[in-house]
Amino acid sequence: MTLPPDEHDLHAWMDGETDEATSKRIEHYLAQNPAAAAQVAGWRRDAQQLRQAMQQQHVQLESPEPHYFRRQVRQQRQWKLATAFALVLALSVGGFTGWQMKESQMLMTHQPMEDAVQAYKLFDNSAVTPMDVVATQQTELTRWVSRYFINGHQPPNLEQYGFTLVGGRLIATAQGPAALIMYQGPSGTRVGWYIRPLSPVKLPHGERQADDVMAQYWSDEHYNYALVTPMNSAAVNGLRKAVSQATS
Amino acid sequence: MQLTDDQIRQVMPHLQRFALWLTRNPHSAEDLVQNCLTKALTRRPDNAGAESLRAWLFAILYRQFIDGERRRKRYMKLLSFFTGEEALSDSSESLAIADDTLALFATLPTEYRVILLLVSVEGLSYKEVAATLDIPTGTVMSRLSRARKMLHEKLEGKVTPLPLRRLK
Repeated sequence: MTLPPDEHDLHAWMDGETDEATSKRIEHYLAQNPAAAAQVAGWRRDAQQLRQAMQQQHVQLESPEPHYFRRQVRQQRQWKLATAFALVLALSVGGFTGWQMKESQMLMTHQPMEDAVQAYKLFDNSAVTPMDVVATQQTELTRWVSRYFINGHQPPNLEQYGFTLVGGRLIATAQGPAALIMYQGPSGTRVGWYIRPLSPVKLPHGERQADDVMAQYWSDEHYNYALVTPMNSAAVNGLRKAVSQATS
Repeated sequence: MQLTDDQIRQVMPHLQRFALWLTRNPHSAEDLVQNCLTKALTRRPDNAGAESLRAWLFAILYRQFIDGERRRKRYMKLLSFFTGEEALSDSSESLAIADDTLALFATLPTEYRVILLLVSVEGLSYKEVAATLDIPTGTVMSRLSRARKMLHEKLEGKVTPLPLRRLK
């Protein structure tokens, strides 16, 4: 500190913020400088006057009991929790609905198993488009199918319904290989069993009619399947019923 | 450890006085005190001493006052932008003051009122004041010096305009 003490020192001394040595020096200085002493005394008077005035001034403010604040805090916490919960709920409901919407949109824009129907129509006539594998033996065809569709179901044996294997045809789709296995009935009626990768969505089991054919479809964990049968043939009724029972 | 009921009852008059002279409006002061205590109950005081507890609560209250003022100013700006009129910027002083000293004190700028309240009325140390207002101790001292000078001049009856303040 330098002598004479500056105004800050005087304030600090007045508020008891100075150490002992400094206080002594200031007191000494004030004793010799009545003007400075008067200044400090004036501040002190002002402060006293202010304190007194505040003590006398009575402004009645509402003073809630402490438990009021505790309740307030609890309510705030509950509100926050409820808000967070509502947010999570809204997000998950939105997300779930969106996902569902996506699936139903997909199903709407894509006719389920339309490729199976088209493949069946294309290979219905063996004279025009020959099969890749011509097989009357179930085992041969089975080997051929399992080469392309790992973990997939094998083409079913439909002999008990009067349909025998004709052959298989490999088809490329945007999602990978698909195959159509053709069966032929006694009166030349042909039915097609179709297997394709599980995409864009896992299909629920169902059926739909397209022009003159009926597609019954279902899925497992890896593939979509369809059985495509002509509408105008009575010979396939038994087979259709068996498929819808087996897949539902 | 949370604030006890006794602590709340004890500190309430101090908070009320501080809030009242900060806002110069009984309703705003009530709101400020309630918000401050509600906020304080969600935290834990750093140390248990009665003095520093008071300083800690003052700090919370002051912080909320400043935030509130900032919000109010933004709102006023927005309001004047949309209405095209200069909104009344100063907070309404609805406090009826009978006492001359207090009436003069109420006309001091907010930062001077605050420092005089904390040092001269509440008796906080410079260090506690610095922590409460979140400013350096040096600033506390210079502000206090200006505040006392201004109050003295007002009480002496010679009202002088605000001294030019250094831009920070």
